Amino acid sequence: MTAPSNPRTDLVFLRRRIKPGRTQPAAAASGQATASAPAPASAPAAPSLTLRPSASAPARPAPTNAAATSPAPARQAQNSQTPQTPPANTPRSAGLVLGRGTTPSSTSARAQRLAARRQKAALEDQEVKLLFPAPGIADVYELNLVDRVLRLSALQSCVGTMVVSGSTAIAWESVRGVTGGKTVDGHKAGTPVETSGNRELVGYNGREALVSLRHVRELRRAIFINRSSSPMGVQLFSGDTVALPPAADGTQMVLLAHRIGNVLELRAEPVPHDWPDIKIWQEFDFSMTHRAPVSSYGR
Amino acid sequence: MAALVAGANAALTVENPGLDHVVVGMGWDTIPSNGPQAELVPFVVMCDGDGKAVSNDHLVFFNQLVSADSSVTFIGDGDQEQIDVQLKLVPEDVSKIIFLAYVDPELRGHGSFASVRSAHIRVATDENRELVRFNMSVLKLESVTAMIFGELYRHRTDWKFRALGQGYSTGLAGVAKDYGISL
Repeated sequence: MTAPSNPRTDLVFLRRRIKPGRTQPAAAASGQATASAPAPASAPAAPSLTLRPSASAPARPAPTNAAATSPAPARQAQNSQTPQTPPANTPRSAGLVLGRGTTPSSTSARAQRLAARRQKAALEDQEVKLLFPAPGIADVYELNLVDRVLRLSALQSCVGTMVVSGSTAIAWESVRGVTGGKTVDGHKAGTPVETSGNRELVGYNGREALVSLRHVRELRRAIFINRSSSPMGVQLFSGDTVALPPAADGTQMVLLAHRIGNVLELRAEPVPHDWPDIKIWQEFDFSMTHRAPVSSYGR
Repeated sequence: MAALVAGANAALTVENPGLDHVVVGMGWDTIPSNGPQAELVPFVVMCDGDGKAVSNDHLVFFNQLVSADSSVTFIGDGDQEQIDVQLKLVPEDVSKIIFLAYVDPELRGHGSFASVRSAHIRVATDENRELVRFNMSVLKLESVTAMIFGELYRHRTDWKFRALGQGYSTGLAGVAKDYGISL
């Protein structure tokens, strides 16, 4: 029995598989040469059988008819012209693809995510580049009225715990505006910020104030107040330290840790010694947030 | 897809001609805890011919999302961490790229890899077609605080991937010492 030249297409099981690389079967059957046609930029490689496990989420969209019209050398030419970033939707091969189980948009979603990350990093870099030069923690022994500021590196800003010893009260503000305060004696105000590691973003452990640098990107700023007669000290995972002098001549030094982009900046800010903590909060524009009780939810 | 064992390598670009862009995925499960728990941090080091980090600008992690040359980008933000590597953008002086995870050295009980299960690393195309995978089945992880999962490295003009699973009991400090990273 010979196969009919025009198979019925209304019956699925009789539908003829369209060979890859031939977008116009009718034209090809009539003898039109397609190999000599100029190749479009999104030309695929030679037809091939590709077995893909559906569980590993292949994310390549199905080859379009337009992409399947040109021979393999065209893609090599395209690669040589634009080697760095091939279009995310460019099919790598035409042919029978088994295990095609993902949505066609997943590749472009990945490309968008990648572009967003790069843009975010570029913005942060730009933000940091705009800052005036500042010494690193290894360059400064003490933050005081002369050496007011130092800046940590991106790596120093995010590893381990920043330990501030000698402080008597702390206050913090997260990037989401959650603000709170605590004293070394256990008095609290505002709202704590819990991290995914089940630790406070800023808090006390014994008499040492700690900042969880693994979650530094959740931190906007924190201040450390010292009402004792001893100096404050800051220590990083690297072992680098810096000190802040105790109050003198009616002036006390408050340590302000402020995240700018991906770096932490440490500043010594002088305030009158007789200012209470609440006055210092106001001076630095800390406004404590409070958890509303469920009973106040009137609907 | 090929499953690797520790120490095995795969010729990525030889077996996949035209491959110039890979996504390296690192994943793990941690036993949940009500108290402070170990927090793993994925970390990428771009090394020179001597096996040392080229510079601190050639490190990629959650607080430095893109390498100085834009060839390596950190795009993961969850349990499945992903690092995007554009092989053709990697500078010639970078001979290998190390993929590791360390337990954040938090003072309030940093923990170790003992609470980590099902750790793996995989290399896929930019279209997420998995090329190789390494499932780590390492025992006695109580003292391990950093683990090198694998590395991409140059072999003549090609790129290969080697599965490692090399643990450190000295955490990030030990890794920094071995690879010349300035903490």
